[in-house]
Amino acid sequence: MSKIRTIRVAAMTRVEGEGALHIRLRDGQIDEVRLNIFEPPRLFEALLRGRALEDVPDITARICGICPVAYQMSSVHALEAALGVQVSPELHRLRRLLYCGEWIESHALHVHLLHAPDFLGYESSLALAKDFPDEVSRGLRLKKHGNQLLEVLGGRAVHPVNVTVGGFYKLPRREELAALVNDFQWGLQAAVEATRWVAAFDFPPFERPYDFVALSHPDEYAMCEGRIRASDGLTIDPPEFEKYFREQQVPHSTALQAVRADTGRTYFLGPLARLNHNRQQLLPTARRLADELGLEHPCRNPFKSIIARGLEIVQAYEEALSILREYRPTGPARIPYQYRQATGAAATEAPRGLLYHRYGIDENGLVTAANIVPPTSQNQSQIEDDLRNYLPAVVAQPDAQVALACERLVRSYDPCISCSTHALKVVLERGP
Amino acid sequence: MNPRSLLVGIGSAHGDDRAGWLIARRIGEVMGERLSVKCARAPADLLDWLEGIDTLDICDALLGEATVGAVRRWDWPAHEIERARFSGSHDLSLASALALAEQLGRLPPKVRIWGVAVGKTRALDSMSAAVTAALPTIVNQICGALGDA
Repeated sequence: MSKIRTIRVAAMTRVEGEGALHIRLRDGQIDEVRLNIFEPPRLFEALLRGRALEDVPDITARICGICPVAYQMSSVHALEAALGVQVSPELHRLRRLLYCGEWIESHALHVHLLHAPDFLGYESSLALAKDFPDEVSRGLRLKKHGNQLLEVLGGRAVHPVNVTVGGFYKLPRREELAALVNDFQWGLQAAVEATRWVAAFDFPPFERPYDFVALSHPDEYAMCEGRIRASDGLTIDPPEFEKYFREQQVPHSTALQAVRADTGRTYFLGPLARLNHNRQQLLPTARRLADELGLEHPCRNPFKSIIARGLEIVQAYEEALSILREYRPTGPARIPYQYRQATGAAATEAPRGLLYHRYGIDENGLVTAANIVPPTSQNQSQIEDDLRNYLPAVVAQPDAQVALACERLVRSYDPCISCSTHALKVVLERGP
Repeated sequence: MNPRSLLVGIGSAHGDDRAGWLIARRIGEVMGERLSVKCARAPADLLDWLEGIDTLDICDALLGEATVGAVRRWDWPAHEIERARFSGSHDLSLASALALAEQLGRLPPKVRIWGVAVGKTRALDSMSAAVTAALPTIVNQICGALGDA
């Protein structure tokens, strides 16, 4: 008779959204690992059909309160591809600036309040704040800078409203951006210190031969534009995404999972993937810091995603500062376009990884089809695969410790479960 | 009551969620220089405003109460507000923001939370007639309590 051991994390904390982890061991061997996503499907793609294409950026932004800019950026780039719109260099830089704000606020929150407690042995950011008040205060201040940037450029900090197909509804005034320079100078140095802080954490010796997938661009650290690149050499344009990556349904999750269509393998998205593919495109401060910290290249330890996130905060501050200082509005705020029947697809880099959108539109500017593939749903099968490989090193520990170790690994991916369906429970079953 | 007293209205421009802002501003007009007033979109904004403050009052919309316009008061620490459904779901909750401020040594010794029961908080809606009608009573009620403090 076999002996079953079950470990449950009924409601995983310090992740965005709600989910659970279920692990079953039979006779000491891993029998099943399931990342259960039980948030209800949100049906955004169906909701968009028949709507004016101008509604899409603001509706898709509502998919997530942490990364609304990512949804706006992927949607406008996909729709502009369908309409044949090419935005000006000025608008491209402003869009990168807006994305910098989102990367700063999302990464600063995750590094300081959500993930750092794992490495320092605290159960929550509140407990961490008692012993590390300066670091937690720094994280809050950095996050606020990101929100301020979203407010100035996007109209408000959550679900910004200034992004439209073809550009922005309104360009910011020069003095509005210049007013942020002093804060961002402080922020750049603070981000460097934050990254040095997290790089000194102890990391579990866990490495795997991941297939890292991210946008890559020869002239810039890819955010909004570039080709999709994988570790095995695959390099494709975003419209080819659905040919090489396949979504699939699994019984235990309301979110679709994803694998490479050509190899059937899982793949890894997010800051570590971006850094591994684009380290040479980092700006000088971030690149020097990566070298100073001795971060291996490529880095295959998922726990070190926290260092990659820190480096991307530095990168975002450095680029934002450059734009804030040099900005001289010339306009126009948006590029005009004519409706036509077409399909357009694009991918941009959300804080958690590649976010793909495809839209069909008709000659009246109405949406006829929509497909949205968020990064967390793509990372889900990779997370489950990681857990199966990580469990043997920790499974001898008591259930509570196993559950905690697994949660830490899941949090390395900074999953946004709300997005993927569109907290996490861990269940571990042990058998004889 | 002195300038080291701060009243923060938490809310947004959506429907009854603006109640916290409007009430805070009206109380500020009544109380004058006896307290300073700020409006926040998110509870975490509080963390930047607490230096040198002795008394903190917070006014926020409260969902799920039976009578729109009813006022509830809590004195921090108040475990009950963890269960109360204050408007807004992203970022730190009010209870989390206050707990974090406490851990960081920023929280004033006296903190009161005023929850005003509201109805719908839909985007772009104006404030409901029920909450609008209740505003003078709510302002008087809170002003009375602040004045007695």
